[in-house]
Parts: sequence; C-alpha cells; structure tokens
Amino acid sequence: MMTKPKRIFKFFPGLAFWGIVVLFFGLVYPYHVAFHEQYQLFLFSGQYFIELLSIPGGGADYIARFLTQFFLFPWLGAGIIASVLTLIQILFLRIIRLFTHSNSLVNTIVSFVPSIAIMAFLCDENAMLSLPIALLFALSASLTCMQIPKNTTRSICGVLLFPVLFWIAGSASIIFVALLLLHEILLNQYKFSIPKWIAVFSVFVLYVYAVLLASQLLVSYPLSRVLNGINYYRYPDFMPFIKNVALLLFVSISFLTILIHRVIKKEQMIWASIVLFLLVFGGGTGLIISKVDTAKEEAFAYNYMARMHQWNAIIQKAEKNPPVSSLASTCVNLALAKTGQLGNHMFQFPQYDKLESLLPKYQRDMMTPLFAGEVYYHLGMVNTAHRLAVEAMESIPDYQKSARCYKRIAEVSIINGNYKTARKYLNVLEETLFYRKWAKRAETLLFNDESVNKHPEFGSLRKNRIDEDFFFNADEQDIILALLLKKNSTNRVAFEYLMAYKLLERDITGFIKFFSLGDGISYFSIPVHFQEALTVLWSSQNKPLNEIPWEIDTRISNNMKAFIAEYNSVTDKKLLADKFGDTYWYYLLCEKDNK
Amino acid sequence: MRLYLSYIFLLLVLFSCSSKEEVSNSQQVSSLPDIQPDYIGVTVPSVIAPLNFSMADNFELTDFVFSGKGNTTIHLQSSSTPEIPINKWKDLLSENIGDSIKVEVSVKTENQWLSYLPFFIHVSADPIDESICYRLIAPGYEVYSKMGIYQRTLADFKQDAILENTLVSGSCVNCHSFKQTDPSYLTFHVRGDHGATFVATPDKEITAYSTKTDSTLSPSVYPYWHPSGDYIAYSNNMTRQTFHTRESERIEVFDFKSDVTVYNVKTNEIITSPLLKTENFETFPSFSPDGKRLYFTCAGPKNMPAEFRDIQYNLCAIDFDPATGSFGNHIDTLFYAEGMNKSVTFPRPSYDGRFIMFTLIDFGQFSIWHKEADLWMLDLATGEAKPLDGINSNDTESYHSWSSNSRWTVFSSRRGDGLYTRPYIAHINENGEADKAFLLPQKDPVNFYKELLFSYNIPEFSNAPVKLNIPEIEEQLMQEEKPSFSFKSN
Repeated sequence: MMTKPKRIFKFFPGLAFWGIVVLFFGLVYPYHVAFHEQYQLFLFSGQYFIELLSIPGGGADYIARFLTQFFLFPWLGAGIIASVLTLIQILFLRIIRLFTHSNSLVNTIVSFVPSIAIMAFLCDENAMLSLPIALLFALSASLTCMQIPKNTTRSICGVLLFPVLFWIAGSASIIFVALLLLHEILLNQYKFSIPKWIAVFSVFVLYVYAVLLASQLLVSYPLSRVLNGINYYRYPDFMPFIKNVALLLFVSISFLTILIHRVIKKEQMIWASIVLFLLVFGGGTGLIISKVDTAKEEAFAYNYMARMHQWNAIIQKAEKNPPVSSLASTCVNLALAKTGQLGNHMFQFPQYDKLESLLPKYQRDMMTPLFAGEVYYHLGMVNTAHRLAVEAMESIPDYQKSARCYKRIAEVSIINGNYKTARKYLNVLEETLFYRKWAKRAETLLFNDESVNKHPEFGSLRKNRIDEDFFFNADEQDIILALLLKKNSTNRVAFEYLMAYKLLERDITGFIKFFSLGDGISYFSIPVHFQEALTVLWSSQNKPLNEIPWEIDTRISNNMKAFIAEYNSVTDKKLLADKFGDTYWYYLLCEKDNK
Repeated sequence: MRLYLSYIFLLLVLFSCSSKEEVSNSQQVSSLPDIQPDYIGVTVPSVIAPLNFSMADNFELTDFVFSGKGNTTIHLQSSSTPEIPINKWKDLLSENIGDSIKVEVSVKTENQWLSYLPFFIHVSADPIDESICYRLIAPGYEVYSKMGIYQRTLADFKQDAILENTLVSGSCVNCHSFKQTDPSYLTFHVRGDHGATFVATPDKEITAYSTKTDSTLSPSVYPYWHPSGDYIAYSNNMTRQTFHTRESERIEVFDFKSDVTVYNVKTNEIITSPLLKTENFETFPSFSPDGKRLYFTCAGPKNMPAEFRDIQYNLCAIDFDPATGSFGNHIDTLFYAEGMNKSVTFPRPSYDGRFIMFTLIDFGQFSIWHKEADLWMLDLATGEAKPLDGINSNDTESYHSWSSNSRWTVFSSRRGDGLYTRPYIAHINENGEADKAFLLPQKDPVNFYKELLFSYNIPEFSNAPVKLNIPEIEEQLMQEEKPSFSFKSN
C-alpha cells in the first residue's frame, strides 16, 4: 500500500502543472480566455447537437463549446483549460507506463511534454478547445483498448473503434491508431518478422485513409480540412505548426521513453530525470513565452471591459499603461466619453491613425466591428451597431454564431421596436446558460413601448436615434454625429465625439462650427481640450487671449503661452512631449498622424 | 423469459391506453384556436408531411382530433406540439383528396376542458413535385458565414445538403436553377476566390465556367432555363449595396447598370440583342413555357445611387427564336408598374403559360429588403394583374417559383419574425387565385423555426433528387483556369 507522502508525491506533479496553467491563463492570459466565449453560441437544443454531430470531430466540438461558454468568467476558463491539459498528461502518463512497465520519474516528466505543446497551441486566440478534447477521447480510447488482454478482441476493438472515434473526435484520433500500433509492436515484437510488420502497418495506413475518404464523402468539406481537423482551429485554411508537433509528440515521446528505459541503466535514471526535467521545464517555459502576445491580450482586455461597461476600469488600466493599439485606444476614448471625460483627458492617451481611435472604420474581420460596434451603440447609432454585430458574427471563420452579437442584435431590435425580430433572438438566447436570465428579463419589454422608453439604457438610446434617412458614409461621420445632436441636444457622448472628431482632424474651423451644438449639455466648465482648441482659434486670429469670449481657465491660458514660447525655442518638437504631451496643442503641432 | 415479455407487453398496452384523458364536460368556445404555425383553412397537396402544430399559448393539455370522410381518425393529446404519426396522416390525406380534414382542438386549463370551433385543412387533388430546394443563409449584410443549398422532400421531413460553402472557405453558393423543376438541367453559382458558375444537362457533365466576358457587364447571375434545355437566360448586373441609417430600412441593393443575356448551352456562347443591351436597366429574365418569349424587368436609366428611390422596373418581353437563337425586333411592356408608382421583380411564368407571378415593391429591384413587397399575378390571357391576397402578408413576400403542373407555388416570406425568411406553399387554382398558404411543415415546427438561425432563400420545386459529386465540384473549383463563356453578338 502506498504511504501518504508517496501518494502526495504521486499527485504533486499533476497538481503543480494544473496550478501553473490556471495561474498562467488566469493572470497572464485571462482575456484570451474570455475572447473565445464571445465567438460562440452554445445552445442546449437538439438541432445544435445534431448539427455538430454531423461532421467528423463534432463530438469533441460539442464538449469543447459546452466548456467554452464558461470562459465568460476567465478564472473558470483557466481552470477548465488546466483540467483538460492535466487530464491529457495523466492519460498519457498511464499509456507510457504501459509501454515501459515502469513508474519511473522519467515517465512522469516526459508525460507533460504534449500537454505543454497543446498549452502553447492554446496561446493562439484562434486555437480551439476542440483539439485537447479530441485528444482526451483518443487517449482514453487508446488506454481502454491497450488494456484488453486478448489479442483478437483488442484488434477487433481497435479496428471498430477507430471510425467511431474519428467521427466523434476528428483527425486527432489518428494518434489512437499510432499508439495502438506502437503497443502491438511492443507486445509482439519477437513474433513477427519485419516484412509482416510492414504489411500490418500498410493495412492500417490504408484503413485510416479509407475512413478519412469515407467521412469526406458524407460532408461538404475538403479532404485537407477533414485531415487537419475541421474545428481545431478557427481559420479553415490555416493550422499552426505546433498542432501537428503536439500530435507527433505523443508517438515520439512514447518511443523515446521506451528507448530511455531500454538503454539507460536503472542507477543512471536519476540523472536522466534531472536532465529531462530541466529540458522540459526550460523548453516548456521558453515555448510558452514565445507564444504569448501581450499586445493582443491588451486589446482583448479593453474589448472585454468595454463589453462589460467597465468604463472606470478601462481608464485606470490606460493610466497604468497607455494602450498600444488603435482598437484598445478606441475603448479608452469610449470609456472617457461615457464618463464625460473625453474633452478633458483624451490627449493623455495615444490617438492612433487619426480617427481610427475614435470611430474605427469597418473591416471584414470578426474583431474590428465588435470594437466599433460598441462605440456606435453608445452614441445612439444603433442601426450601425446592429450591422456591425451582424458583420462581426458572420465573419467568424469557423461559422459559429455569437451570443454577444445576438444579444446586441436583440437589444437594437428592442430599441427600434422590432419586437417580433427581437423575440427571435431572445428565444435563441434563452437556450444558453449565461444569457437566459437576461433574455427572459428583456422579453418582458417586448410590445411594451412604455417600458422600453423608461428603460435606463434602451430608453435613452431610443431617444437618441436619428430620424433622417441617408446612406451610412464612414468618411462623413461628423455629419452623422451632428445629426445625433440635432435629434437629442443632450447626447453628451455624441457631442464629445463630434468635438473629438474635429480635434483629431485638426479642423479647428469645423470644431468651432459645431461647438455651439453642445449648448444643451451642462458642463461645470468647458472641457480642457476644448478650451485648448478655442485658445488656438483665438490666437490664430491674432487676438489677445484676455479678450477671448469663452471662459478659459487661467492655468490653460498660461500653459498655452508657455507652450508657444517653448515651441518657438526648440527644434526637436518631440522634446515638448514631457511637458505638453497631454495637450491638444502638442497633438495639433507636434504629432504625426501615425504613431 | 416469456413471462417477462408478457409483463412488458401488458405495461405497454396499459401505458398506451392510459395516456389519453377523456375530454369531458367541455365548454364550447366560439372562436377558432390560436395555433402556430397557422394551418387553419390552408390547402395542402395529398402527399404533404404531417402538419404538426401547437397552441400559441401554454395549456395543461391539448387534445387534437383529425378526421375526414374515411375511417381514419387521428387522436392526439399533448402539452406541447404532438407529432402526428406519418402513416396515419398519409391514410387520412389519401382518404380525403378533393375534400377536407376536420381538426378539432380542445384545451384543458384549470381542470376545465375548452373546445374551439373546428377548422378544416383542404386536401387538393392537384399533385405537387417531390421536393423543394433552397439555400439556407443567415440574414446579413456584406459578410456571409456558413450557407448551403439543400433539398427537402415534401412527403416527410428529410433535408439533405446538396452543396455547402464549407467546401471552399470564403465562398458563397447561390442562384440554383432547374429547368421547369427538372434538376437534371442544373445551374448554380459559387462566388469567392475560386468562384464559378456550374452548368449541367443530361448530355453534359457538370462543368465550372467563368461567365464574365469582355462584352458583358459582370459575371452572369439570376439564371432561368429555356424549356428546351438548350439555353439559359442570365442577367449581368453591376450591383452595389449600402446601408440606411434609419431603422425601418436596413440595406439598399441597387444596380448601376444591368443587361439581359442568353447563354447557348450547346455552343457555350452568350447571345443578346441590342434591345437588351441598352442604357436601360434590364434584369430578372425568364422564358415563356413555349420558349418563344423572354420576359424580363426593365427600368429607364437613373443616376445611381442618388436616384435609388426613383428607379422603377416594368415587366417586359421580347420574342425569342430557339431554333436560330435570335431575338425579336421590339420590346413589349406587359405590366407598366411605373404607372402605379411601383416596381416589378422576379417575373415567373407558370409552366402552363397562363400567368406570370411577380413581386411588386415601391422601387428598385431587391425586394427581400422591402417590407411592402407582395406577390402579384398577371393573367396573360386578359392582361389583368392583381395581388395574390390569399398569400400576401403585411411583411415581405419575395422569391417564388411554380410547381411543374403550375398548381402550386413556393415563396419566401418574412411574416414570421420580420427578418428570417421562411418557405410557404400555396395552391393556385385555374383562375390564378391563391388559396391560403402554409408554412413548410416540420416535426416540431415551433421549436424548429425558433432555433433555426438561417433564412430560406430561393425556394424552387424539384421533381427528382439532386445529387452532386462533391469531390468533383471541389476539384473543378480549385482549378486555376476555368472554361469561359464566349460572347456572340446577334
């Protein structure tokens, strides 16, 4: 019987690995985890289940998508990923123990290698949980088959199980065949001659190919896609190299472990273990670090926080580390506008690509429309937000729908009073785990204009909608913003966006033209950047600042004088960044359009 | 063992006997039941799949009795949507051809049974084609996700994929067309980087073509087969779409230019007439069933998109000689929609040559985004056109096609939820009048349509199963060089 310390030692490596993975995805990569959830719509419906099961790998996809819905809560997602990777390690450890008939430390150490490779694969935001789930299926099936003592039963089981496994788990089940073949070679190595082994191997290869071809005939997917795994990666025409490396590792590590146990003497195993530990730990860490993309994580973080309306958290994050991408900057500007600070603080943060940080132009991908859609929604341009939600969802390369986008479409349909359409989307959301409650609540608003009008969000957005009909033009958004203000002169977000738009365009004349549209909005004082722009306008007319007709803070007038003095005295205008980098004057005169 | 089996049998018998509650002391309600889908008073073909339905509101129990002039009666009870047994349903239909099925619905609420007025489902003696084919696509704007062309047999609920766009990533499959419901004459488009137009006839293997020529405005779209199978009419359109800011309208799709052309399948040549290649906008071609006329819609030139609300299409026709592939020397206007301040799309002649069904909208040619879109019927004998009141709703009715015997039409409508198009089938009598249309039946229609995230697009009847060799299609699509249509000036 195993003693308590021994038992703890037995579980320690797995537990430690689980903990490391949880900490990694929970602390370093939480928004990559949440990123996945917004690009799927897992439904508890028969149709959804059948549709997924009608393609090779659909069983793994179904479980993966079921689990991915919990990624809405990144720590929970991190726990799920860690559990799946640890399970893979445990199953693989048991397989290599069968191969080597040993409980050596070497086995334990190398059993982590494929899991680490899959963890690296999962660092890619488009790598789906389907692959690790498929591997769980394949490894469990391999282990079950290998433990059948009778040769004939085992062989029949292997042959019959493969097509089923292939349909449930997809092409990752090829490792089932490979591990089983390896197992048979080890068991019967002295019985068969090499030509016989070649014959057995060829028959298996042909069998696998036949299953592949047969499955392709049943679905409308190219053979290459079926072979690569239909839903292991979000983009159909691409598969990261690391995925195939991870699959190969199951076989090559098994082979290597057998070799180590045969070649290295028992007393040298401790040294082998130390070397292998250093290699696996060092190599694994290096591999994961090489796969981490902090810029994307930052953008995903802002996107998540904007989705959750965490405006103050966005601003706090940006204050700690200024955003490094235009999409992240879009969220910061929106957060500033939502908290009434855009006119005061926007130039404290980088503004990329002129207007792109404010109102990103539509691009045919699944990311940009989500970011831009949030802005249009909060401005009151709900139809554009609706369109962008649809475009983002239809751009998801693996043809999934999006619960986040469905929610937005339902919201806009309610705001627009298209209750029949809203009900369609709400009915679908009611079949999800985490949107059901919201959908049920929203359903009570249907066909009840009074309740919608009183709703704190929908009511004000309904009031903000433009009455005039015209074609949306991404190059004339200032006109659209002005029309929003014409419709509702108290739409502060629209006013701050309009002013920011003109400031970013460096169009002071346009700025002053629209400035009076903000008369209906109560400000304690004119926002700082607007004051800065007004001083520019006044100065450009060669008039003394003390005669300026707007209420300008003395600190700003003094600051402007200081800026002009320093601007005229330095050649390298970038030197002004430290002192004046957060002013409109610096943006106007010293910054290039593209950072 | 035999004892166990006896017990099981007894239990099953007991269970089946005790599963129905007697509708006793029922209170009569003086209204028809509110059911979904609405199958009250519809006319169906004698081979249609069971019209499963449920009450719009929830009740403890609902009792359904279907009966006719024959011996077959179907009695069901359920708290949701009961599934009508298909074999009994078939018997019931066949016993009542040319007559009606009476449907009695009672509901139990707070331990009290309420019985509604019975309603009738009329069983037409006019046969219908074996299946319908349609594209399933999510409603969208510029980008499209998964879609496919599917066939659904009308006698049961079986749906098979003909082709899905998963075959080539980023592609779009559309505009499937058969020769008068005969799918052995087939054409469809695949758009995208590897796009092509496929054409197949019984004498010609399926082939992927590049349809753009130097003499045509664009690749060929909106196909319509000539009754001989020797020609396909196409339209060549320079199309754009843009987006409205107001909520009542979402998308505007319009042409900058468009022409109608005819493709000779045997010689692989596009033919046209100077009368069809003008500054006017010609589109949506279709051949008369005798093959001697080409119908199309036509609008005077406009400055697009500025005048997008002013463009209105009329229904026109030009003579066509299939023997020589030549066109007549003048164009007739069959329906002057402009005079009504309206616009015609999708003219579809009945195969008996009596009628042309078309969609009428306020302006433009992309009727699916027009809420006011309704179906109209033009009687070619009298020249009179009237709306198909039996099948129009206050939402969009758009694409439509005829059954091979011209007694049924399948059309797409947004009446359900205002966005997702669903296929409805309606009987058309010999006077060109439509009976009440019914939604394509499903096993559990309420949940099926509730959960379905796709719209039905281009519903077409098919008199035989459509079978494509998918690896062959893929291979042809992936070819760099595809055979091209050539252009022959008339």
